[in-house]
Amino acid sequence: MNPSTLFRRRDFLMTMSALPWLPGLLQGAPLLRKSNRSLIVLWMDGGMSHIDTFDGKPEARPDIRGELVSRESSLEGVFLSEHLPRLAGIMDQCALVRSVTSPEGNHGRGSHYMLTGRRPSPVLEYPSIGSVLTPEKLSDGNPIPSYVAIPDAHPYARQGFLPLTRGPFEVGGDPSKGDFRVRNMAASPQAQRALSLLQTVDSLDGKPRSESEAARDRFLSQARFMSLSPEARELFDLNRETPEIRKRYGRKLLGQSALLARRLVEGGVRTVLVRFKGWDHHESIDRAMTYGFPPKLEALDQAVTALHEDLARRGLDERVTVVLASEFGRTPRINPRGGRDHWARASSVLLFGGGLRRGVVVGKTDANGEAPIERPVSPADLFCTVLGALGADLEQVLHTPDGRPVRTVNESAKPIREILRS
Amino acid sequence: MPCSWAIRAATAALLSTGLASQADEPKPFHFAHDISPLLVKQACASAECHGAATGQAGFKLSLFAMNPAADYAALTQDLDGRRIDLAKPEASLLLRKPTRQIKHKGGRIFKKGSADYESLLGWIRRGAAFTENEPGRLAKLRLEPRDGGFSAVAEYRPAKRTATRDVTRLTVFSSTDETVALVHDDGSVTRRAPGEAWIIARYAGHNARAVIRQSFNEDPPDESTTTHPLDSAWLAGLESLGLRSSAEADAFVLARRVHIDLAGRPPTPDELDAFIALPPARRLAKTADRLMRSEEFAQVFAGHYRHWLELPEGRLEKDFEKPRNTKLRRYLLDAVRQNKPLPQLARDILGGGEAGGFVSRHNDPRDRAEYVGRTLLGLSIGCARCHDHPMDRWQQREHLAFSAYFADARPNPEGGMMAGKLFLPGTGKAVQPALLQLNPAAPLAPDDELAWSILDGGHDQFGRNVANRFFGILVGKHLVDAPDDHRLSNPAIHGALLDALVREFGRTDGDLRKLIRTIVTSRVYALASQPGEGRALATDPAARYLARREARPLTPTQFKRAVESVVGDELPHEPPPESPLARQLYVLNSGLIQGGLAKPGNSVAAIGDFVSEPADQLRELFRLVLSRDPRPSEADAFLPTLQKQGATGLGDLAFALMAGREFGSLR
Repeated sequence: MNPSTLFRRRDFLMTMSALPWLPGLLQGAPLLRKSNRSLIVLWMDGGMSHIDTFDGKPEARPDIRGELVSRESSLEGVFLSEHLPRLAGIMDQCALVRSVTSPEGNHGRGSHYMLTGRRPSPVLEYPSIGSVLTPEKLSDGNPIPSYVAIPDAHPYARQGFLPLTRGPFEVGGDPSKGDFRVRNMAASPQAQRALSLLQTVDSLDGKPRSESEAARDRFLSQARFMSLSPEARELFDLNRETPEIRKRYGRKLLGQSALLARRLVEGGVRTVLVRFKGWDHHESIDRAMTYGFPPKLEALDQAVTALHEDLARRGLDERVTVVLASEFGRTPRINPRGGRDHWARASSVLLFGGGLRRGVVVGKTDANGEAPIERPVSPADLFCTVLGALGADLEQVLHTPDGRPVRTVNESAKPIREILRS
Repeated sequence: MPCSWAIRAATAALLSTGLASQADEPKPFHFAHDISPLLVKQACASAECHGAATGQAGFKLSLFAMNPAADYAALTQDLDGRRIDLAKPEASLLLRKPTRQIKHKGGRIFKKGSADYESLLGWIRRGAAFTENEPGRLAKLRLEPRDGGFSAVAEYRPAKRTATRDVTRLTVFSSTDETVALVHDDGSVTRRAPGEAWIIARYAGHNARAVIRQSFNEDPPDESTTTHPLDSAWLAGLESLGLRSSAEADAFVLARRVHIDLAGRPPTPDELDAFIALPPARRLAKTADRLMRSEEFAQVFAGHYRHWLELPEGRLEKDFEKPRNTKLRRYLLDAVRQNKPLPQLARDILGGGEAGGFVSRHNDPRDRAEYVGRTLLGLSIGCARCHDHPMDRWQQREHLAFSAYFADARPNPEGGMMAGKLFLPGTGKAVQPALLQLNPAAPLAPDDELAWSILDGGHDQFGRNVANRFFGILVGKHLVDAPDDHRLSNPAIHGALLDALVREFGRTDGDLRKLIRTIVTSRVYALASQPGEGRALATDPAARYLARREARPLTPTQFKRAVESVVGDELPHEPPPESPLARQLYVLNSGLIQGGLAKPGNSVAAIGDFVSEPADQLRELFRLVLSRDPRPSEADAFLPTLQKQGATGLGDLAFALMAGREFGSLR
């Protein structure tokens, strides 16, 4: 993308709308008004099998049921893989949607639909949920980014047609590694030494000459804060956590990323996306999910339950909403290579925390987990529900670079009222 | 003889109930011209209401009422015809719903007795026919100025004559900039602020536009004269807006600008001296000619070609299945090196040779058609893949027929190749390929019909697209923005300037270097970026209407090349990331600048080694990094650093300058 698109005609119009002679002509109301609510998205990249996780079918034929055993969880009628024992124990405090259904069975298209609430369009790339939650303008006093991706952002978890300033900040490293550092965050000695010179250079240059120069000034001061202030360094420093907590989350990528996500939302980051790759199990799915260091399901079980427990203990469970989702589910029937292929007609999404009711299950798939038989929910509905849980204005309108109004939430989407509190 | 059957729409109902006096000539009527536009104007056929793909509450209209026959069927046949009650017209659902005599989720659209109500009622009373007294083909829509706004006038061609009719009441109006002018339902205009806005009218699938300009009245008016083909058009545009152009940027700024634009890096101190030493009037032309012969220029513009022709930058994650396109990249680089005329480039791309890969790397013929439309014509025909677009001339069947051109040829079982086919969804019928008709009056195509229709075909859309793109690359602002969306309702700023540029493009047979030379020697290229006193950056009309340059950030590649050019060596680092926060962290801490300054014998260290006086060192450093001399305030501020801290001070100051606002910006 060309950086000259950093600021667009729409921004110009937005600023115009602040002028007194244009009352209410252009809509520029923020999505969230004066709110301290945060969102953590745990993105299971690759397509997590619903049957082997949250929508177990213990009664089905072996070629559907799979090798992994499912057991009833703390929520009646909900069967989880036996490799998710702790999650099974907290299901009565979560909301589970088992009837997510979508026509998009390709990784790119499915992810676009799930992360942006819109089916891919040949003319527009839509902004992800983290970007729509990012305020339009970075205020001078805001020292930390609003939307952070750990370790990096999925290509469709970005700003879409919105300006680059609303894209994710990628930490760019694995938080479980001993030498983990946010990319380029550690202040270089020369930068530290030359900082006052830099300030003089900029101040002798006078006022910024364009919106892009003004934005650069704001982001430079944010970058300076992030690399120099002890608060910012602390925010990203997992060594501030006790060894017990670090262990409780799981020592590997997902666990430590989830822990970092908690630290960040606690510190005021609005949206954190944790990207956990490796769910595209076309072969030997049972082994792929239960072997490894650590096994996938074990890592998932540990990290998600630790996050749930930790948020509650710290009194963040009303303020932070957590969503665990994936681009689609996987084929109910095991293929000849012992794997499962892409299956968008059914998948499961787990939610808990702020704005959500506890111990609710929405929808149901048929006996073989092929399609919803109750309360089908589209990714657009889900997107709308998550924004609803955060108390967002569901009528808000965004504008494409050429000024076309686009609702943040797809016109036909409806929130899943059963799981929303209030 | 033109026959006018213009009728004030409000009297239409009276006419139909027999109270009119003009009974001698029956009034022509067509559903598509009288009822469909009403459904559009009242937003019944919008995507939020009955135009949605699945309709609304069981009643489906085509999106934007682009398919009158289907809508007529929906109104008259569905629901056993209850929507229209010929026996008791007032009881028709079509009237009771929108007046909210019975429940209507969309609320009350119009009142009983309103003009819209009466025209629908009149139509039903007359028998709700699809057409009466066939009005002839709707040929054109035009906007006619009247007191306080516009009237929309439709031109019809009934047998061998032209008839006109005032359709203002049935026309949807919009303004391209509501902060400048607001247009109301009846075509009247409220002027709100100085500037330029286009009023777009839409009626029965036809569009028309007219411009509203209100002067900024800046004085004294700009009275400079020019012989440059672009500048005369541009100055006339500014004059019509009452805007004064800003001064020309100083020679140092121009030197940096033209080097970054054409060589991808700032000038070396020697190049800077050479630029300043040239006579002012010939600086840009001479320097551009020299730079355009360099390999650096070929690399930079091959990059612009790549971006224009949508080759991915590298192996991006999104493109993980796609090959690296090495051959296509090489083709582009050679095209710039050899200065291949741009029409020839397009011919190669549309032909079956190596460059055909630009098109064939897309699998779906519809993707290919849209790709060609976007890149070679600057037209976004993509909307028409799914629905006819109200603001665009392309219809779904045209999209499909054009796509059929790009269906692959397959081996024929009987030997030889069989032309590929695209099938109409649902029917299994093969689609007959057809070219996009940009100029219906153009003569019949010769053999090479696809390339001919795009490059010639009685239109200059290829030239407009290319000229606009390269103007945007060099000046930082596209005249038609977005550059892949030329259409009636997306007008150019300074349309005359674009016209002049297109003429130059045609005159030089699409020669890229001549096009670049024309642009960089114009005054509009040389404008200073300094905003006027007290102007808010975001709303400054001078930047908006090209009365001054707008500073923009160096691209990631330009930034890295600029640092390398300062230290005089290549650096192993990746270019900066695009996220603006990540970029500033990169500037401070990635080690790109530090690494360059730590290299033995780099150009900054050389200043310390070979220049003894701190004042001279400062001057050399500023010329090297910022391509200008230090100002007195800067000398006062930085000389003590150089005097006290020697080489460390020099390195730190070089770092601060490269991390600074000015260095990262193209002004």
